[in-house]
Amino acid sequence: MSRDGAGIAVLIALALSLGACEQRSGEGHTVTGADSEPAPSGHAVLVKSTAPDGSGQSTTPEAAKPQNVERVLAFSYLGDTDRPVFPTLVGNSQAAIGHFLSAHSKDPLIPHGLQVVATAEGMAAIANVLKTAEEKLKPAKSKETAQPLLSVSDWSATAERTAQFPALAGLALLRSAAQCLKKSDAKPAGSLDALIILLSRD
Amino acid sequence: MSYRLNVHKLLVLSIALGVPGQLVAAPTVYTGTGITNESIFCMGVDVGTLNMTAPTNATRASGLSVSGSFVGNNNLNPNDIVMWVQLITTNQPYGGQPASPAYYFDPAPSDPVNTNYVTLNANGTHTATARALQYPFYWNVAEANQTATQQSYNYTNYQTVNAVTSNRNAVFSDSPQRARTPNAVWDAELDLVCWNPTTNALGMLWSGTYGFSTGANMLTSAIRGITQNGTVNGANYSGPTPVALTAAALTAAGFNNNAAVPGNNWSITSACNCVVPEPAVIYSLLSGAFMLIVVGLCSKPKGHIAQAPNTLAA
Repeated sequence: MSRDGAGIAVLIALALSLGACEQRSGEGHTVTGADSEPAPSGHAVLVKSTAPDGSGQSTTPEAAKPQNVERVLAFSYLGDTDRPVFPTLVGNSQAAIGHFLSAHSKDPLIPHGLQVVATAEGMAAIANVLKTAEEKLKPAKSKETAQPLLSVSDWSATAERTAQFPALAGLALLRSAAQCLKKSDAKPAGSLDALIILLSRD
Repeated sequence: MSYRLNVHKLLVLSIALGVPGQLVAAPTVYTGTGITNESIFCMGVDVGTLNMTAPTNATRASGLSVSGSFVGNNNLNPNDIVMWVQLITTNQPYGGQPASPAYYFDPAPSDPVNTNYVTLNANGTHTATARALQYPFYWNVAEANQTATQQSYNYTNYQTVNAVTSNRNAVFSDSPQRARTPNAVWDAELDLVCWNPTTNALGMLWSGTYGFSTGANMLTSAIRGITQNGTVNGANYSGPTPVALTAAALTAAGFNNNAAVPGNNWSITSACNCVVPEPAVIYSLLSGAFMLIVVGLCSKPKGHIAQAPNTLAA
């Protein structure tokens, strides 16, 4: 097996593992929504980190932050579109979302994003899915230059960083996150569906 | 290993491997012309003010962002609703839409119907699951009726006299992008109309175009600013002259003869029909009625009045 082939095989296995909405509390369950998807073959993940103070120094948070820390995950579409595709903002409290919006008030899309307040368990599960997706899809595994279609900003009051995913990797991530939201009974239901539809289309 | 280290390792690796998006010079920022405080006339009557930001790629590397708003005044007929209509022509359509020079309505049937694109049902409720481009408007009717407290649909196109007093306005916002298709040419015709929901007549208030192009690297290479179509519906009553928004286009897109829409035959008129009767007209009508009453009272038989002196005299 060539080096590229081995890399692809690894990525296939890793992509399949993304199908789970893993709960750090140990009550995790396997979600099959993404398992039927083709594996992301050689997708790159682009990551940038910024500090809210503009210093450029990242104080990147752990995926599983203390539950009392305000946190927002913003899912944004990066692909071709004729219309403004508003991001989905998943926060652990309405106050966290409000502070996130204040920090991005000049963005043309974020202020109109769909707001979802997740339970602590749901938030942790989604963050875990995101962390897994980033760790598994390291750019070292691939030289392919796939276009990123999904951006996920992980925001807290002290740090923010953004990861970008190509279509299939992003789709697997979204579907797993949607299952986490569903499990946490977050409202409104189907809040990630528009993004899933868009990435499926692409 | 901490998460922070992972992030930095990813960043370094991506740079080393030449992953796109890293170590790329900041895209050139282009900015087209916008519109500032332009009075919009309807049959010679000032009905409101239009502002449009200058389209720019400052926050949209492979496209543009633009926004605007029309703020109406009390000259608008409260029975009409001010709405935005947009049609697109591009050499890089998606979802089966036709390529330029053809135009298609925005949203297109291929755009997802979901929380961002809910559809109004016939009974006034809205759903996020049905696909029905029943109306040719940029924001659907459910979005247009948003209140400010509904953050997820925070657009208020619904213009009534009461809305004017509460400072609501017809907001427009778009962020088109062609991040996956090189050498794209994307243009839109944006129209401001007043819609009579009973007759489905669209009165033209304003029409204009804007657009962008991308290069082989899929970054924005040109911005075409807001360019007005024809003459604003002012003193000469000629009205704006949309190119793409025509009765034929509405029919071709399936908006006419759509049984789901009451009064489902749409018409477009450049003779704007969105104004309330002018105060002078109302005053004249009231004055005329008053004069008729006065004349009627004064023309009653005088004999009854003339009897009084005689009685006194007796």
